[in-house]
Amino acid sequence: MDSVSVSLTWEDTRVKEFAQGCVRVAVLAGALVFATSAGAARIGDVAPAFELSDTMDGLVRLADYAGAPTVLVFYRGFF
Amino acid sequence: MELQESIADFDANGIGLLAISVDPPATAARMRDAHGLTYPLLSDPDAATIVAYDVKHPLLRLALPAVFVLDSQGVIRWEQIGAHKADRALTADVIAATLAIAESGEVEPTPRAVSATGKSATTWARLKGRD
Repeated sequence: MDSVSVSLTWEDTRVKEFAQGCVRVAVLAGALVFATSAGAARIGDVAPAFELSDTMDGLVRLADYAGAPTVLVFYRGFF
Repeated sequence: MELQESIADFDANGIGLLAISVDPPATAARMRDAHGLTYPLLSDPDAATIVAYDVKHPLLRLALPAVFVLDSQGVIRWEQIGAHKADRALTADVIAATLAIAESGEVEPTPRAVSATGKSATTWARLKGRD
C-alpha cells in the first residue's frame, strides 16, 4: 500500500510549483482586469473615435456624427 | 430597445443614435429585423471600441450595458455604465440628459434609479413642454 500512495506535502516541489502557478495566474488576471479599466472614456473626455461595420455592409464612423449630440448605446448582444 | 420608440424625436432634434455590440453584422441584422430597429447597429467583434470606452465585461468579450451621450463637439457629457446585463440606463434618463445637452450643453449626472421603465414618448413631450 505504501508503495502506491502519494503524499502531498508542501515540501513536494510539484505542490509548491502548482501553488506558485495559481498565484501567478491570479495576479495576471487581476492585472488584466485593472488594465482594461485604465484609459477609460469618462465625462469630459473626447469620445474615442471608431469606425465599425453596420448591418448593411457599410462603415459608420463616429466622426460622421460630429456637429450634433449623439447617443452611444453599448449592449451585450447575442453573438 | 425602447429607444426605438423615440427615434422620431431623436431625428427631429438632430440627435444621432448608435448602438454597439460584439454581435457580427448578420446577428445584429436579425435583431434589427426582430425588433424593427431603424438606428445603426454597429459590430465590434474584437471589442476594441468596447474596451476603448471601458465598458467591457471584466471576464467575457462582451459589452456591459452602457450609454454615453456626446455633445456636438464629441465630448462625453453623460454616461451610465451597468454592472450587469439587467443594469441598464432608463430610457427616460437618457432622453432627459440628451435634451439637456442639446439645449444648454450642461447636464447633471442622473441618480441611479432602482427599477421601473421610462415611457419614452410621453417623457419627450413632458420634458420638451418644460421649455
